[in-house]
Amino acid sequence: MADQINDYVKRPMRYENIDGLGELFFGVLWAMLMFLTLLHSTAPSSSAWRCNTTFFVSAVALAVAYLYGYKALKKRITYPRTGYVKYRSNRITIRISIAGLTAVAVAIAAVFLLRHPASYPPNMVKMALASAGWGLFYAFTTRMDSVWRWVVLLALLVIPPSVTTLPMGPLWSDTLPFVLQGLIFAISGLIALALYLRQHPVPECGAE
Amino acid sequence: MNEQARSISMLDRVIHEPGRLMIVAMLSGIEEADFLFLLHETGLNKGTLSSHLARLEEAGYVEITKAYRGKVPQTLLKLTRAGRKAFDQYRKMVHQAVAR
Repeated sequence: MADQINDYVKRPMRYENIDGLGELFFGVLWAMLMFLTLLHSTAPSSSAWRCNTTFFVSAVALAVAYLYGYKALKKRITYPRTGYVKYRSNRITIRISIAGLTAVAVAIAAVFLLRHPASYPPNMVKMALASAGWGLFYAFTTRMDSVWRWVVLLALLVIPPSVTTLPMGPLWSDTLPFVLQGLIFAISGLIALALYLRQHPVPECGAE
Repeated sequence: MNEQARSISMLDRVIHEPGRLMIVAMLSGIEEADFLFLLHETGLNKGTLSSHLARLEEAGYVEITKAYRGKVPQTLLKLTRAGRKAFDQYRKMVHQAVAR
């Protein structure tokens, strides 16, 4: 019985990702940040994208768009279909902010690593470790209750490290796998969102 | 009467009903939710959910606010301080009863 009560208490937290919007937004943010990093490192030296200020302003703008866009879509898609929840002490906002800040921090670290290429391990090992981390994050934050989620997890573990073996320049080989990681997260979010929309049409009489 | 039976007999009857226990437990982890969320998550029908909420409001455990989201009416539900305290007490008693 105590387990059943704990399950009820935790259910609103699981509800946060019922629509896949969390994964979708995180994936897009991650892919965009990595793309920005790639742009920052490969653009011609006279380009504005090469400028550190442009990079930081763009990264912050992305993080802000992520927070506000996420809330706006929640209001438009989720609340009319399966209801509104306000979490205590902004736990969800804190989680989203941590995810956003982590992504920005990793992007900054990636820029640093690209500028000092000699001081880090070979790409394949680095990507395998990063993918294992993201795989754990994915398995921890989503309910692994369907086959497609396991396929996404497998893709997350296998595709980014494999891409590093393709013949391409060092800058591309450093950032493209990260862009792919973000896109895999985004695709997972899109699948979850499509399933959610199919299973939960807007009630005819609206919310009560 | 042994200790376990005494613990069970002292459980809060308002919360102990399965439908109301679900409602109170879900509301305990959040600030507030609307009627639609509880309808979706509990699987109860509108009439049953309404009557459970009325009983919880009567006991002073749930605060019900009628509002509008745009032009759509919205019923917001929040566990009161007394409701939170009663639920914490209920959980403690259940743990004690199970442990014995």
